[in-house]
Amino acid sequence: MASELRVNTLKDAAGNNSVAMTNVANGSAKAWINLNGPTGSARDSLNLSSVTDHASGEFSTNVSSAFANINYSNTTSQSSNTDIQNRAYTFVGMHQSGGSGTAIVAPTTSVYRFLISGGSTLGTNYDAVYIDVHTMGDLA
Amino acid sequence: MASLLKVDALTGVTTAGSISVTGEGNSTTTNLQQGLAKHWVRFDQVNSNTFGDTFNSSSFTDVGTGQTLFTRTSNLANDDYAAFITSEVQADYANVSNSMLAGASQLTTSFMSAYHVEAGSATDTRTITMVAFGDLA
Repeated sequence: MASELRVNTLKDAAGNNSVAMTNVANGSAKAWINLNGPTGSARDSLNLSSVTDHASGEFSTNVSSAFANINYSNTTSQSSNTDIQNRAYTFVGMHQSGGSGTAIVAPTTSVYRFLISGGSTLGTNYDAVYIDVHTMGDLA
Repeated sequence: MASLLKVDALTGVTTAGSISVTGEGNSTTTNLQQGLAKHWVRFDQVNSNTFGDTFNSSSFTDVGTGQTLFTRTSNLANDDYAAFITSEVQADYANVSNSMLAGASQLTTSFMSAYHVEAGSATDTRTITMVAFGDLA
């Protein structure tokens, strides 16, 4: 039987490890993705509706359940495709222009845009094989 | 009315591994299990390879300069989890420093790999932190 439980606080049976439900909601990731850059497809995800492949190294992730505002926090890590000692970076909200990220694209409540640059050549955008993104924030 | 629930375990009714939590805006829900971090690490590669703190790590392996493997206590269900890694620059804050997912070796169910690079060379760092979200086995 499906059920709904309304509580303000959770504790273990011994009465320890108290956590307020506001912390459960606020402290949980609301979206994450393991993205295959060359194919532009998700290996696994939470709250993802689609991925937009704009250009080499430049993607947008679109969520199924929108955020309450655009002030959410994203963290992104990526692999370096050719040599692990290469320098690789992720730029939040960068839009490719003339082969380098020059324009800022503000996030929306459902779309987050980013750019992967570096790898074997500094300043060159590239499709990392492994791109992982987490999003913490308030759902609508 | 304020309320308090004391339990040692939470399990979904329809699906044991799926519990919905109402979001902050009160109009949508998020999946409790999928939103929880399944593995995190704060680690010092310089001072005798020591954990600052960790969740779901059973041990580590010093693979080489700047690279550490963390073995999990509870495995993930697949290789498709999403990990984030960041680290502290050591020699000179003007150095180009970054930390990366270690390619294929990162994508196993049993361990997570940390790699710190500084000025183009693998370097041990005093602080490397990682967190992973995904599905537990």
